[in-house]
Amino acid sequence: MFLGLTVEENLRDGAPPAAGPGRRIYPMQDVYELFPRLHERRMTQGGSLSGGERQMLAVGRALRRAPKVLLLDEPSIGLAPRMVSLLLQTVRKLVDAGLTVLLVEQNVRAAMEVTDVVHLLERGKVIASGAVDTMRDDPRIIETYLGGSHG
Amino acid sequence: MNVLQQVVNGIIIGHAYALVAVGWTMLLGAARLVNFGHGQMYMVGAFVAWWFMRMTGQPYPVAVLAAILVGALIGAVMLRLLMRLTLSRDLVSLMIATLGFGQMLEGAAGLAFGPKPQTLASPFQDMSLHFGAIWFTVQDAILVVATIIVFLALRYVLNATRFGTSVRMVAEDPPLTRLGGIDITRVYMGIFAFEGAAVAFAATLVAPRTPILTSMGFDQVVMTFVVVVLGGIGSVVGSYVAGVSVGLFTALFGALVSPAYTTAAVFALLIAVMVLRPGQLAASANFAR
Amino acid sequence: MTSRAPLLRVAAAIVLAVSGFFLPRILGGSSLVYDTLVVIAIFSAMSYGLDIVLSDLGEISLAHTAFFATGAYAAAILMVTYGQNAWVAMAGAVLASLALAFVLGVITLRTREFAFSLVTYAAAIVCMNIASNWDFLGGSDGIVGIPPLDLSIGPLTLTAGQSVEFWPFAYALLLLTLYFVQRFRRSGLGQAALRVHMNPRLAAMCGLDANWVRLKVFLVSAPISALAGLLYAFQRSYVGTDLFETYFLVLMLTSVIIAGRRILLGPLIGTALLMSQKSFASLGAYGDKLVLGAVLVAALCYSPRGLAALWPWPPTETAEADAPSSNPSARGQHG
Repeated sequence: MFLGLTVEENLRDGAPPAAGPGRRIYPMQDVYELFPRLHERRMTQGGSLSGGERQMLAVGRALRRAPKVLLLDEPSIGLAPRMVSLLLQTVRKLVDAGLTVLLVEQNVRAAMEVTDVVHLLERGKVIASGAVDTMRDDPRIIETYLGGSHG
Repeated sequence: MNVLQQVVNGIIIGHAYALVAVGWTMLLGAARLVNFGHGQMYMVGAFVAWWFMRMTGQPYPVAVLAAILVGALIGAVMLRLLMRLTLSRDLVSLMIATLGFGQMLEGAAGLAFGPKPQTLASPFQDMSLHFGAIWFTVQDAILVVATIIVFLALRYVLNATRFGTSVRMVAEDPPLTRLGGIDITRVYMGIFAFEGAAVAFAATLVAPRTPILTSMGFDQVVMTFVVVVLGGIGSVVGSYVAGVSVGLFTALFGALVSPAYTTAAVFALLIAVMVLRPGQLAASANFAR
Repeated sequence: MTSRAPLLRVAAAIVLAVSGFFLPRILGGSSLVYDTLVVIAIFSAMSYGLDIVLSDLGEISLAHTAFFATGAYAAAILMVTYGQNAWVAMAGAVLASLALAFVLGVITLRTREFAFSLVTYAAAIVCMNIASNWDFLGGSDGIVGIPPLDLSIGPLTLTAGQSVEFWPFAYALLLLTLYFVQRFRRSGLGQAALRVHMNPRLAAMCGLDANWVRLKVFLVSAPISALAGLLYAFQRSYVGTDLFETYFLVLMLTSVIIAGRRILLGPLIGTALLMSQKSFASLGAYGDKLVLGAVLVAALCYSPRGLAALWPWPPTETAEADAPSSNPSARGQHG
């Protein structure tokens, strides 16, 4: 995102993306509905936003490009727990609305609350996969919580 | 010595410096490009206006428009030539290339316009206004007003239009801008054309004061550089304030100390600022403000 | 070039040096040939001053026209105003340029890249401004009446009047410059400059003070251009503010860039090409400027690392290979 531009400018400007199968164009209104906080701060410069707000803005910008798939790389880093859960809840809303999201997260607990399918990686190899309900009780997941390795 | 008159002179010259510098500061702030051909572009602007008036018999204002258009065109040509370097952000090669481009302009101008000094005749240069102890020409007044208008317009465009936003995006992060779907080539084209047009416009307004030569212009870069650094790179308000300040400085220095060494004095001022505030050269945080 | 058979290399260098001396005669020996070759020798020597700073240190100094002019003016003033001989003039040229380089070096100590270039450019213009206004330096008329070069010591007569007589001196300057640059690149300072250029942080961790190295390289480079200027003053018998013109600057830059970085004969070849065009295929003063500018722009757009980079050299395992990171335009991230 652009630190020198306001939230509104970050979201507004850019060429309109091409519509297509599986692509939903998100008008500004929708982004503000998803992230009311951004609407409140819409005249603030990017550089003055908090960490959580920046993540929201980043996701908002990505949505404005009408993605088929949204890739999120460790969005919870540096965020307070309340912000993490808010962010991930919003991501869940997007999934429920039909968007495919690939979430890479170390915060396994928070991630599992909003995902459908889990792949567990350790040192670059997938060591477990499955629907989130079955994986919840998987011992390897529990070990990951306590062991603190990659989620 | 009439101090008030010197102040008036300073303000007028200062506006000239600001107008000459505005395109350069935009180019530097938005494209990180130091345009060493700036002085030659100034010279060409003046000569195109002169030549246009001579060849077509059109009045001065039309010649000014012609010069602005040619200036924008030269800016666009420069970008086309240097496109590969601009996109790869090879800033050092780009900088030297502008020096080469300036030399090309100097040679071409010499071939086209000849070595003799000429006068760009503006009807406003001979009209003067007197207010008690001070006086100035209508040309001077036009220069000041035009400069203010250009600065206000620039500020508006940069902060309130879509194109302005894309310029600010490119200034901050070109790859990210491209990811947002914006054609950065077009943005660069706009910036380069603005530099060409602005410096040509400035030249047509200032040149009627003295005879013009195809060898002139290279020392413009010094004044421009000082104004840009003092005002903050890319800052609109900064260039204006710095321009007028430097203008006042040169007028007063010229009157009180020595008219010949003003360039040296301004340069010394620059060095002093750079030594006291080394961060001044990276002051692109104020871009477009 | 590898260090195999150093004796062979020295022999080859000597052969080249000697045959180079006879080059003007081989090319016909006319006055034009001599004048052109003299000018090539002088201007390439001038360019080598810039070459050290650009290729080794990686900074684009735009002040070397000022050093060139300083050498010429020092010679003129010492000989015409103070009636000194040519040896004193040489010493004066070197000292004056060192002084100027020191002042500029201190001013630009912490500046890098475009800031450095701009300040050096501005400094050169300020010098020109001062030279055209100060009567001591001849004002806008310059200084005329420089006597012919006379470096005679005791019984040994070394004078030069016309181009034929001037050639040995110009050639000697060129050879000395080449030797000096070669030794510089092999010296501690030369190596330090390269390290600072290629990886400033690593160099700092190795204990190299970047600012001090830069200053020293800058100081070393100035007298080279100054001596070229001195010789030029003798050749023309006149110095004036035209010595500060951007034409010389663009000439220097083009000749250094066009062949490639850190190629010993690079600037010489570049200068030779450009001056040959001016002498034998001139399009008039303005046409030549246009050509010069076009050559520089073309070189930078199509081959910023020099023409040598376009040639399919066989891979070598030498330390002096023109590594990509010795290109000043490949310096770190531009952000």
